[in-house]
Amino acid sequence: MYRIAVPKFPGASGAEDVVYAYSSVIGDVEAYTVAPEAERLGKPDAVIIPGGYSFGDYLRPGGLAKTCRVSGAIKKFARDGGPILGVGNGFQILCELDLLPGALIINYSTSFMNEQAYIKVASNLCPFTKHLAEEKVLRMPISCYYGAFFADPRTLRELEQDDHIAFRYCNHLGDTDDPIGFNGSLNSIAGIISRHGNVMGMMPHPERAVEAVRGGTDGLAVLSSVLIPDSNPESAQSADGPSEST
Amino acid sequence: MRAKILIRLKEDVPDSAGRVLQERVAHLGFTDVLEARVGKLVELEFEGSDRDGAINRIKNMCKQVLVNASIEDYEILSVE
Repeated sequence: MYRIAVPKFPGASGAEDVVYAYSSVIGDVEAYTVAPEAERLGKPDAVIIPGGYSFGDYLRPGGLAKTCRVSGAIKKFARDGGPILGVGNGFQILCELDLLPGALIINYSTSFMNEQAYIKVASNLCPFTKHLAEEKVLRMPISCYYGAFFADPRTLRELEQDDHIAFRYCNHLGDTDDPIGFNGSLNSIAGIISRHGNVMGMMPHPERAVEAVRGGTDGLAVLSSVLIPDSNPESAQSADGPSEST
Repeated sequence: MRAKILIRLKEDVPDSAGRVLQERVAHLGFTDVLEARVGKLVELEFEGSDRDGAINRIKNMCKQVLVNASIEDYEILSVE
């Protein structure tokens, strides 16, 4: 059975959402939390770093998470090529761990944004987007204050040139023309991919978009993508019985 | 010994909190404020009196955790 480790940093509130999405909604997946001072991840096939204000966002969002022992295990898993997805605060943690470039700064509006966002698949070069069609528009919640992606011009250029922008904010038609964008993110970036392609961070929350009763199911396509062998792309959009890892 | 470290966003990083602060103090009538930047002050109390050693440890802490060098600069204001 596919195993997904969910590091649970002190104060972070989103781990149970990830475990629920994989274990109870998608199914046939063993998703389990990992303590912040754990030295090992428990031999997972993938790691999901959840959202939700680790250490109360003190100092900087995600800044204190790197003092936890489990962060060393996450870095090793990344170095070994393991697939890692960071969502919300998890994205911020991945930037703080230098597993992703750039940083997340305060939304342009200076408001806490808690609403549905539209995002467009910009690259499917990552385990979590490999079965998504480019340009596909997805709808899922965002819930953050530090949500605007920033990187220096050179890093931004490299992300664009290397096709490492995973998602961009857009409207329901897929347009990304607004210069301020959804929240001030440079180039409307909602998610990025690491240099080696195995690590992805995104601010919108796919794990909170897995049931119609909660507002939508578009998150399933992202969460399920990593579970599906490359030879079976057609089933990527289904949450009913994703294949086990090869 | 007490050390004070000022951490600020780099000049080229948008400072939304500073922008809104400038707008609001202008709203109060302080229209001569052209720009505001918002940073953080970290105070650390050290045991001992090795000032140079403390500065080295502060720099190490800034590198490891206190500062995100991709968006922030820091300045050691005092160690005394």
